[in-house]
Amino acid sequence: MAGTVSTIDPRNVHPEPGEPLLDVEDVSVEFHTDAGVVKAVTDLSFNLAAGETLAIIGESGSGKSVTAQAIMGIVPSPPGKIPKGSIRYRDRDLMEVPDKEKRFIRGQEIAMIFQDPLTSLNPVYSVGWQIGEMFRIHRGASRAEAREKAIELMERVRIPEARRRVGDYPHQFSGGMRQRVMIAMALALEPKILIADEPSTALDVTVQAQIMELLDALQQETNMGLILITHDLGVVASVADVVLLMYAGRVVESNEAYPFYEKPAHPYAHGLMNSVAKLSGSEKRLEPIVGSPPSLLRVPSGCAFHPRCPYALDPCWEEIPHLREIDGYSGVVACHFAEEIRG
Amino acid sequence: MVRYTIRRILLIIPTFIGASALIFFAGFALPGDPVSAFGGERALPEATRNALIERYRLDQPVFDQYLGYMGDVLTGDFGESVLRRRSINDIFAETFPNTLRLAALAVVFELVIGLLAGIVAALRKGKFLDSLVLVSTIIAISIPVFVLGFSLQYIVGVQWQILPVAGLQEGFRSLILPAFVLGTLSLAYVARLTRTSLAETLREDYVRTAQAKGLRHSRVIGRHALRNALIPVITFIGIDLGALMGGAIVTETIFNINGVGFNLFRAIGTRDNAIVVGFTLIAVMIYLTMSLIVDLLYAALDPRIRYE
Amino acid sequence: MQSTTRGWLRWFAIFAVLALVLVACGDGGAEEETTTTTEAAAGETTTTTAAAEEETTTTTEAPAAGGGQFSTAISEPPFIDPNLVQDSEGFEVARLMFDGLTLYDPAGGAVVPGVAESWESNDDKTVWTFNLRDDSFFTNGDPVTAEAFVYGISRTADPDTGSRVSYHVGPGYADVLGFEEVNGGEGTGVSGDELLEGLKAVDDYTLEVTLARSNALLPKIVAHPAFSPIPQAVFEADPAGWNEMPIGNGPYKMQGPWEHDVAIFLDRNEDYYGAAGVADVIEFRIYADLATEYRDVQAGNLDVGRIPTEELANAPAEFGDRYLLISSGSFGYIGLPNTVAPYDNVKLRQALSLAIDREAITERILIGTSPATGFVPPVATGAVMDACPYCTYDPDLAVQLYEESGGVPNDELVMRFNAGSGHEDWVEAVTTGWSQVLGVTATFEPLEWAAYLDFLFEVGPDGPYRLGWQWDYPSAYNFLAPLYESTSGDNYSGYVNADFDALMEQAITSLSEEEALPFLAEAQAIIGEEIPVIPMTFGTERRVWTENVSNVQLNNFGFGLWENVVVNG
Ligand SMILES: Nc1ncnc2c1ncn2[C@@H]1O[C@H](COP(=O)(O)OP(=O)(O)OP(=O)(O)O)[C@@H](O)[C@H]1O
Ligand code: SF4
Ligand SMILES: [Mg+2]
Repeated sequence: MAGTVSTIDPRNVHPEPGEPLLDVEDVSVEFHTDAGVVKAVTDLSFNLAAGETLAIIGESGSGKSVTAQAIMGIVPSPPGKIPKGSIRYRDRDLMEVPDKEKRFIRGQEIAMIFQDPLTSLNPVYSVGWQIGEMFRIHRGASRAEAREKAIELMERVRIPEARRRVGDYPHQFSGGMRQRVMIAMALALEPKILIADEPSTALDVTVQAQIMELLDALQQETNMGLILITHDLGVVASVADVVLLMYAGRVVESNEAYPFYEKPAHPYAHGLMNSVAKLSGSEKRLEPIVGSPPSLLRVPSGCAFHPRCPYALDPCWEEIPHLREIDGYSGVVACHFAEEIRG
Repeated sequence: MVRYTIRRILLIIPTFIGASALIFFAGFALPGDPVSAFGGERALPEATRNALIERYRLDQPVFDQYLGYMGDVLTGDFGESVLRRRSINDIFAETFPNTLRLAALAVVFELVIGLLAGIVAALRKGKFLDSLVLVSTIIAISIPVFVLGFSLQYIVGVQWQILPVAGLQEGFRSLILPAFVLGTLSLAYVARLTRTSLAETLREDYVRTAQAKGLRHSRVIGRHALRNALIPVITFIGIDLGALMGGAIVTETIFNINGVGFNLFRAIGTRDNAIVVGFTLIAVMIYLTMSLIVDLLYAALDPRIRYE
Repeated sequence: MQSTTRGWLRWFAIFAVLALVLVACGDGGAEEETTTTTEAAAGETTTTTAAAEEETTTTTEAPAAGGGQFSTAISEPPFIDPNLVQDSEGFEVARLMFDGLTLYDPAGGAVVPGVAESWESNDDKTVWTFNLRDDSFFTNGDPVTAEAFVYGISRTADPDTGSRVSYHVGPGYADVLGFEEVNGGEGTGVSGDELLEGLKAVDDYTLEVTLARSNALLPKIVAHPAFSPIPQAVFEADPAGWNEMPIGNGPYKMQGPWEHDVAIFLDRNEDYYGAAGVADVIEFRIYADLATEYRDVQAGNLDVGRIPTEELANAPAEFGDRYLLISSGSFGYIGLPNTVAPYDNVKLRQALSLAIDREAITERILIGTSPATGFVPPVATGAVMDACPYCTYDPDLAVQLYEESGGVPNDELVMRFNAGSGHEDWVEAVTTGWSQVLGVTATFEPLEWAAYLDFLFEVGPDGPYRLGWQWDYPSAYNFLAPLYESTSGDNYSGYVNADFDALMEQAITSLSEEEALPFLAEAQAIIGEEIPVIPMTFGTERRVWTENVSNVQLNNFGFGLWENVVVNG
């Protein structure tokens, strides 16, 4: 099976809804820096099916982007390392497949939209060239064909005057348009999985909404699995099927979106919800959770959240809580006192 | 782009006038005059002195001399050396090709060795090859040019006898050592600049994007990272070529190459004003032209500049 | 737009290729030139060297023929036009291309016939007649006539020529009648159009020279290239090109135009009237740096070369019998303003001289020179050895004389010299010696060249300064009259001594150099006692060479007798 790509048909029809696509199990990612080992992701597991939208949420630095990089197989190395775990796409273990196949899967089976549209496009190539490159490299298209395809895609992500602007450079576009270029590029080969790393945070509210709508529409069309990384709980509520809440590199709660939204179990989730509630209230001021996210160089002992947790008791210092089901809640949560706190 | 080019070309004119005036008057502000310098330790007979002063217009007010000189320069005549009685144009025409060949080969060394070393170092950052490049470039930067020149002459020329020690009698073979010596400093700089620039670029988001697009590693590095990382390097090399074309005093002297820098240096020592002013002026023109070309090249390489 | 995004690699490649093309283009020329020269040389290397080797024992006579090509080194001279040659570099080349009326005997200071087979003068040595041989030709075929000498010598004197060596024709030297009128006149703007009154071509092969003042040394003086014959037609056809490729009548001629700062190639002149040069081709390779030149000899790329200071100690061992050292005719001294107090005091001058340890300085700093023991280098005819009794190192006597003299004001003095010419170290040693021995505060001040000339010629020195003297012809007179005669323009120290002046007059108006010797000796005794300047060093010349050549000799001017060098087969 090594080296063959035949089981994955590049011109595959869209997958059936509910078809399992991605299985992440027990993945950890470390960065060996001069200052020490950064444990960016620890024991991460989740599944994704076709047509499903998984939202990964968490504060800055909680390991969301690193998770996406691990799936894409682009964790910068050095300093990055994946000491354990497996990531399976359909029937392949992405960490085992040969380079050639990895490249094949990247971009056309699993694609990614990066966090910052301002810096994620190459400044010295025109947007048309960058979108077209997908067709030229993976589909052997000629320059002219690639250009036509690029225009088509640009129209599809609703970039106005696509034909005229196909030769323009990234710096000539607004942030929203650039994000659309990124999306066009990611969607070029109709991937089965799209990872969107905060596709809208850098943009203003109306543009954010448009982008989300766009992604939603595309998902309807192709049944792709969508991993949406975001801070924005509002977005989560409107589009996500499943939510993964991360704290200090670990998943601390995972559930379907609706029940999670209604009443999450983890104290950290409460804090997040409160800050959103405050934001939408009259004061329009974010009330963040007291304290700041921990340094991943020195993750606090026991439950990493304990320095900031209003409910923390002795065991929280000593023992790492594992994800578990609790009575009366449909999801899993990693908190020693989840039952008590839920009341 | 066209307007930008025209503006840049027009800007050369006042720069050139300013530079020429500065150079010309500086030559006159120094004590003594070329005719006394020609006389040496024995004073010239008065009549001989006067004849020379008249022939070289040295009896006119300085400003008139400048105007007269610039008039000649506009017709392409850069004057005549009092000490050597030779036309500056002839001397320059004779020396510039040597300097140019030397500079060109030095730049080839910079490009080939400097770039490769820099790229390897950036891709193997923190590893043995990287350290090797870092250490050897530090050495290259800190060794004085004449020490390097002498050592290579002795080892390669005298001991091994595989390349000529000096002169240009053996054509291309003669150029190898001096060009290498001339290029060393910039070569080391290019290596370091490439290393830093590429290492920085490799951390850029768009390189990650390229990876995520499923491109081959070589394409990610070559097409996406290097294309950006080399912009400052190419710019540096262009400017460096401009500077090298102004002549290389030490290298040309050590390797006995009849070049612009060596002639200029000797003229400064012997107070041969005509050569000093003429050569400096031509060097300024070359430098201005080169920096114009580099600017245009920069604009061609970086679209962000082009449209501003 | 696509075109700019396409292949930055291509840009890179184009750039590199362009650079290489530039490099390659230039090459063609250089290579072509070198091949022609080697071919020319190769064509004639068949001539036997056996004959040449036999002859090398006699130094004055060149072997009949040897063939081959060798290279020797010079620095770029400003001129090789014999009327303008002003440095030893130009002299080296001009000497081989031009034969004057007389020639220096390479072995000593005597003169031997050149183009003039014989010469005689009237009783008071004011009118000289030179009888020219009729078989000397310029290498363009024109005969060398008396007219060519009239023209050439006049051209040297013409201010329009702008020659730095015109003084050779004037007072104190040849002093040809009419020199002042031409050289001191307005000039016409054209070089060589005014002839000297004292020069007369009696017929094609008889030159009569009338002098403004008696001169017993004229035959010696006119051996200098400033008195060379010039083919007027050739010069006038292309005045600007003359210095690039002069046409002469010597044992060698130019192969092609002067390649500035690269080389001058000379071919043997097959029509030369005298003993033919040995090598077919002599390459004067032009070097900017002595160290490079020396390394080129070490590498075997240059056949004969000079030695940089830092290699002086190693060279004899490294080159063995391919090393030559001779003393030459240069004289380094410390000048003093003889008319300015307190330097007008003889005892002070003596004290300053006695307080200098010349042995130590020449051994450690001025390596390659020898300590001066008099005012005339021993190689010049008429030099008196140890003419300077105060040129020893005698601190006690120095202190005594210093005290008797009354010393310098405030016991402070400043020595001036020209900066950046390698004088710093020895000047510092001298002033330190003065400070230590005499208990004065002696300091030094380097001046930029132009400022230094100003200080010497315009302002006038007010304390010690450094200067040197390079002889014009190998006679003691040339070291004495110009520097110390009260009427001489080169007497910067302002020394005035009527007895000395009288002796100079007697010397120059003698019937021959021989008869002048006693006057010259007496004159040296006078200045030896009065110390108008402080003698420092006598010069030396050295050469090393490769196994490719033999019979390398230097005359006592320090110039190579290149015409005698044998190229080993
Ligand atoms: N290349 C790297 N080298 C060292 N540490 C890294 C590297 N990339 C990420 N990290 C560290 O890993 C941790 C997780 O980073 P990550 O980018 O995943 O955060 P995030 O959850 O995406 O945050 P944000 O919401 O700000 O994007 C951070 O502490 C970060 O400093
Ligand atoms: S385990 Fe303890 S510290 Fe962690 S969230 Fe639960 S209560 Fe808070
Ligand atoms: Mg992130």
